[in-house]
Amino acid sequence: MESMSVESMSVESMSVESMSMELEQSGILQETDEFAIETIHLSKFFGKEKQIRAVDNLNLQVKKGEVFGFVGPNGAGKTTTMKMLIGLLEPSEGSGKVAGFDIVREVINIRETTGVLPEPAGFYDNLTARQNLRFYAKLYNIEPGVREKRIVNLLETVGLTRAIDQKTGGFSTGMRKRFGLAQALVNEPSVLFLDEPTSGIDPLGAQMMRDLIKELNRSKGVTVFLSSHSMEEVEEICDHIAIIAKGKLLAAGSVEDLRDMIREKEGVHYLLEVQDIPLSEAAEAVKNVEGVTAFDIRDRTLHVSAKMKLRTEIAKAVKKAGGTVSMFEEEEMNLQKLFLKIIEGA
Amino acid sequence: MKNNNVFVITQKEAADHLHNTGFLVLLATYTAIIFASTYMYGSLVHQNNSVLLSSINVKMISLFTPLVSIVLGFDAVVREQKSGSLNVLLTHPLFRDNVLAGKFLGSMLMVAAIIVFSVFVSVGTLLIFYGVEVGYIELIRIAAFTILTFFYAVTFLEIAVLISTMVKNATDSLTYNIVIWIFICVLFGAILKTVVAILTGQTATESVLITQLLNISPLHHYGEAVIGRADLSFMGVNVESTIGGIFDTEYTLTQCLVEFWMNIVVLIMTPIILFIIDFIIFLRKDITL
Repeated sequence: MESMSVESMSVESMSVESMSMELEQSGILQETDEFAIETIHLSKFFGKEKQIRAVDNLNLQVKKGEVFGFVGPNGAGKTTTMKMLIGLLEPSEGSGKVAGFDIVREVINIRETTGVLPEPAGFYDNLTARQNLRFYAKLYNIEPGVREKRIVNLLETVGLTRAIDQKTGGFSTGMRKRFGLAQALVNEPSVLFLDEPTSGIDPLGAQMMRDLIKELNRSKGVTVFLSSHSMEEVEEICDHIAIIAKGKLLAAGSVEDLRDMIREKEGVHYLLEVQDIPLSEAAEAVKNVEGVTAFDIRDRTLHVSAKMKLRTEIAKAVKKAGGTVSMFEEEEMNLQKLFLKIIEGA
Repeated sequence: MKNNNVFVITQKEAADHLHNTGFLVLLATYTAIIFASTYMYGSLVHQNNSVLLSSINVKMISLFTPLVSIVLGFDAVVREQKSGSLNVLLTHPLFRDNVLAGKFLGSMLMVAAIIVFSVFVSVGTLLIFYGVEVGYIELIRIAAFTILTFFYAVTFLEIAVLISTMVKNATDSLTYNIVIWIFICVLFGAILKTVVAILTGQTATESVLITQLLNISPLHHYGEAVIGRADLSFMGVNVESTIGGIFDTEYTLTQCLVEFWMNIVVLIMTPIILFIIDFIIFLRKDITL
């Protein structure tokens, strides 16, 4: 890969300020300092002729204090984006800010105010948990007294108090993930980057990790930027989500926003159970409702597709035909389905 | 704060070496070799007017010191990359050059400590078992010898770290380092003699080409500067300078330094150039997050 650390290269990227102004004028961005992370036309190309577009024109805004899920298939550009945000890679084009600092010019400031749990995350396995955290804490010039207390507190937070003097080489995958979270919190960051924080750990450990992330966000107001493959996880803990594929941002918003987006594109799907009249009669009645695009009878259920929300209209039509609606549900689209729909659409 | 971080890494690197059983075993073996070779060497009759200086077994030191450097540096970068700890480390507030500089400083500190220790072992052995006299002249020469040995050892340390930056795993790094060590410290002179004899038909003493090619070996510069011998490798080129290096007390130290300044400059510059190359490679390296 043709990569080079940010610190070693010249700064050619356009300034965030000038780009922000341009985007504000175009209505893409809002002028505000409420964002913990924002990127403007952020791009990263690899290859001699920049033919590999790992991240392509990414515009993201992550509000302070929210848990932001960054999802996408393998090779979508999630890790490359994260690398750029924490200053491990210089953008080819565009710019960004994390915690108010420029991702090219103020890398050290970013690292001082953020915590990162990368994937894979390795530690010094010849050292104990305490020694490892002490080493990381020294990199922030934390006073020895404060440092030692913080180490104990952090390990307590992640449930590793008993393992404080155990070598990390002997830790299980779950313990390593939790320890990784502790190392990311050693500087009390305002923004936390988590790359696949629950990958490879059992369901109980994963739930514990999610609870930890939620608690950190709730009690300390830490902004969390979470990259994950687990839609269940993202749906459970994230306030907002961005879906990326082939380097491009496909959708962003809350789960409900994404549902609306899909509804707009693909319509709404209802499931009905009807009494007093045969389903075929109910179907005939529903067919005439304006906006209904398709219907189907399966498993004693009437499946109705509509361009928009037509719940009341459909219920009225069935009632008018003499039927009683005993069950009326909108086909719930969980994040996994939404994700697949969005990816397929791309 | 950023410079502080270099020292945090230096401290950790040095502490890691000191707690590494493999390294401690090697250090003990190295010390035993230095002690035994000095003890044996001290019992011989020496031509040089300083019994102390001529009793230090430079050939043995030149052969085994690089091994210590290799053990200190062969997995410096690749180990951290492979384990993922470099991934984590670089998310904290420090630059890549801080990491490399810290690692070098930590290992260089260990090299310096080991060389000083081995010099103490050598001199101590001669003082205790043979009661040799130690004067001002000897002390100055020993200090110069210690410094030259340090740069010689650091050259191998830089090679080891450079290879560790370039390869994918520690085993490959160790293999390449050992091959380079064998080539430079054991076989170089013999190979050179053979190749030149086949190509030109000249013997080692006649060939200017051999003398020129010897310049690529750090062992040549070390051997020449310390004891005035052009080649310390096995069955190598047997050419000696008029002045027997900085150990030749018939000449003043200034005269020796003037005579061997080129060797000394090469010994000092080689690790610096290697460090710069390593620095560039490390900066360009993709570190998977």
